[in-house]
Amino acid sequence: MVLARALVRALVLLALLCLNLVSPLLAQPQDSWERLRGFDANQDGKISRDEFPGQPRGFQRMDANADGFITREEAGALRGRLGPGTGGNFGPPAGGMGLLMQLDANGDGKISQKEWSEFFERADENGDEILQPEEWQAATNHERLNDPAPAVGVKAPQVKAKPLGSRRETDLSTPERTTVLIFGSHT
Amino acid sequence: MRLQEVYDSYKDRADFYWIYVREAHPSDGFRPARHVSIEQPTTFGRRTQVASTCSAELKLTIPVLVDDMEDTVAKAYNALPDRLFILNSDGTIAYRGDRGPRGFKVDEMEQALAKLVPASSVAQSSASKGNKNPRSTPRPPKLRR
Repeated sequence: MVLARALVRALVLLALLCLNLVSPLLAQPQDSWERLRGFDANQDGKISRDEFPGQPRGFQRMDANADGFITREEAGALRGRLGPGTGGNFGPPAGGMGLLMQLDANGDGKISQKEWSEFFERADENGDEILQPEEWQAATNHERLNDPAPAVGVKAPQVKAKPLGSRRETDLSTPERTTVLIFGSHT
Repeated sequence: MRLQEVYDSYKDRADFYWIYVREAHPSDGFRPARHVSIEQPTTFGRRTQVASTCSAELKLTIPVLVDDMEDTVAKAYNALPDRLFILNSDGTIAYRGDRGPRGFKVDEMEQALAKLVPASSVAQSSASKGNKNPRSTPRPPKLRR
């Protein structure tokens, strides 16, 4: 029973996320191909079913000639059929990938079941284990607007990190003067 | 590189730290980067190696700190995959950029920095410290961006 509920939750969330993945593609056609082409693993200039990041239904909508590939023209043409500004009923304007990154609490580029479950718990306001569109909308807006990072004016977190080539940690909560922190990696 | 330019312009007025965090698009991840192939480091030693190699290749001189394997600093700042902050000298947050990649806005950060440490402070700082602040001295090559 518990497993079945978990499965239903996962499917509902996956479907909702898919809508969020596809809706910005529909709403911003010129960006849509730019976003899709990032999934073009073999770089043949078109997106196959295996490369498509969303649900099969989304793929079918975009693959106008049903040849198994989404081309740049098809990505743009879909928008032409649906009209400018067309999008799904769910999700924030920021788009699905933005939401995905916000749910990705540990920043590993993937959504774990734990991250899904935590989001579901937060979103399911009435606790009926079903996410209504209103709850989804409220939750995604909440995720977007409630950033746990320290706000301007508050004390910096008491954290330390090691400089390259040194074992002595640098305390980032006690800067000697104005200090710029640049978070990033090579990729 | 834009960040290096900002660093070169302001390093006499402010401290800079590049905090190397977990790779956003490792070769063994969901969406591998195309410009470079790097597996996600699984030890702190390896993470340090990657940070060092990366900074050397990109010929950056911004001082680098390496976050631990629990991503303690990045989590405290909700800064994955990348992000910009400025701290005041009293230890409070002066500027908070949005999470990257969309929110990683170097120009916006520089505008905030320019207000915090106006150009006139350069002369004062140099005069009062004899321009010998050790933290303004470029360190060995660092990371990208």
